[in-house]
Amino acid sequence: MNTPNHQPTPDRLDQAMHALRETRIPALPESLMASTVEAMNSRVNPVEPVSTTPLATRRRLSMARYFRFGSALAAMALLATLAGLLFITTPQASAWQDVVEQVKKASSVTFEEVQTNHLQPDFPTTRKNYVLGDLQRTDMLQFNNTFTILNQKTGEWLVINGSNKTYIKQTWSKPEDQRKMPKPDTFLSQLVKLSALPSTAAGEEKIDGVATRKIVIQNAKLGGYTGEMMLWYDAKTKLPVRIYHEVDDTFPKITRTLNNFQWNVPIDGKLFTPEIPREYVEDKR
Amino acid sequence: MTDWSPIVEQHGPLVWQTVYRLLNHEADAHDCFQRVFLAALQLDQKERVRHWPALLKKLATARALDLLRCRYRHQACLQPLHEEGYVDSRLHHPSEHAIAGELADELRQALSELEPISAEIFYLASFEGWSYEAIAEQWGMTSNHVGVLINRTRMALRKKLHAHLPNTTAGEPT
Repeated sequence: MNTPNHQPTPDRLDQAMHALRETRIPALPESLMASTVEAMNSRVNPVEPVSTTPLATRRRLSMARYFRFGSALAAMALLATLAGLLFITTPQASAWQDVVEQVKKASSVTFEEVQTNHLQPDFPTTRKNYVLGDLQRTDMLQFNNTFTILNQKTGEWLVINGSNKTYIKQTWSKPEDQRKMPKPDTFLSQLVKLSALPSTAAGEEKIDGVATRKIVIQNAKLGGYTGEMMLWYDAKTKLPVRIYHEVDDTFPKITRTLNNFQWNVPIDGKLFTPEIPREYVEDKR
Repeated sequence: MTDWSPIVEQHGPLVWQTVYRLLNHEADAHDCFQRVFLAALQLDQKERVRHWPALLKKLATARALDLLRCRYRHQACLQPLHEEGYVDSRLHHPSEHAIAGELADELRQALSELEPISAEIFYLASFEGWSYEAIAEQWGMTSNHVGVLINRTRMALRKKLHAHLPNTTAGEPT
């Protein structure tokens, strides 16, 4: 027997804690501090046009976030963008207008959305969208029973948050509501202006065996984000197959890919009239 | 309005230390660092912050553990960079170096598998030196409850760490 045999076995947890405690930590990069302060200041003093109406309540801030991040609106923005072109006719029909024409005829669409930011490219946000006429439902796939439903026609908006077991109802029927926050269609009409932007053809590609043509629109504002939008459409049906939106006016920078479009498929109407679970409480803040 | 520049300058190193120790990954630590301050900004807009270091430490621990959970849940996402300076520079022997790094990683993973509140409380008590009373105040529980929770967490961690051990009983001299 030698001395080591008599030594008590060190506790593995204590050893691990020691190892973790002794992890060598590099100095905090000054550039990180500077960019953090910059990011915070940009949140405190947003660059976006500021409404004369003071934004005071948290509810309104929350709604603003939904506006910025809600893919329901992004999706509607997409449709509005496409639909917007219908109102502006030009003598020469472009490929983009052909796409819009087909979108106009569509009764429904479902698609998936993946949003990533450049700081965490491996942790995307994913959403599933259902559009049926004036109704739009967006399911946040990472969160249980969390989704938004928007009725463009009535201006009603329902947000169900399964994580907090809360829900929010918003209607833009009254003028004072609209002063607090622009009505969704106002937001859409803002995006309709995209139709004035030129589109350029960017070649042909095969996506999942489908022959597509690609067009690019610069400075496309969708869902409050501005950036380059690339759209691939089916060469036969002229309907969008994929949209990639690279946003350059946010920190962190984000990209969004709208994929797996299913056009003119039956969608269960019940999706848009969900029953709010009894235990959910209304968030009135 | 809060002037963030001095707050980030003064407390940034505290936050950095916590997030880097837990994440041991440069890019993740950068991301987490910013998330912590942005979360602090949101809180500051809602209510007056009384004690910045405590709030930031708490947020840093919570956010870093969130990221750890993501990392281990999606193993393919981000692997920690086993780069130079990974472990204590006092451990010069290569095998010791590797073992310490492995142990630290095992503990990170084990922490990520715990209930968030247990992991946060354990980390703050064991690595940041928070008293039971301070934790009790932050989480709205009694000091006794904190003690019990930490004790249970220790046992759970020990169990998880031993589960990682290779089976050394077979063939071992008795």
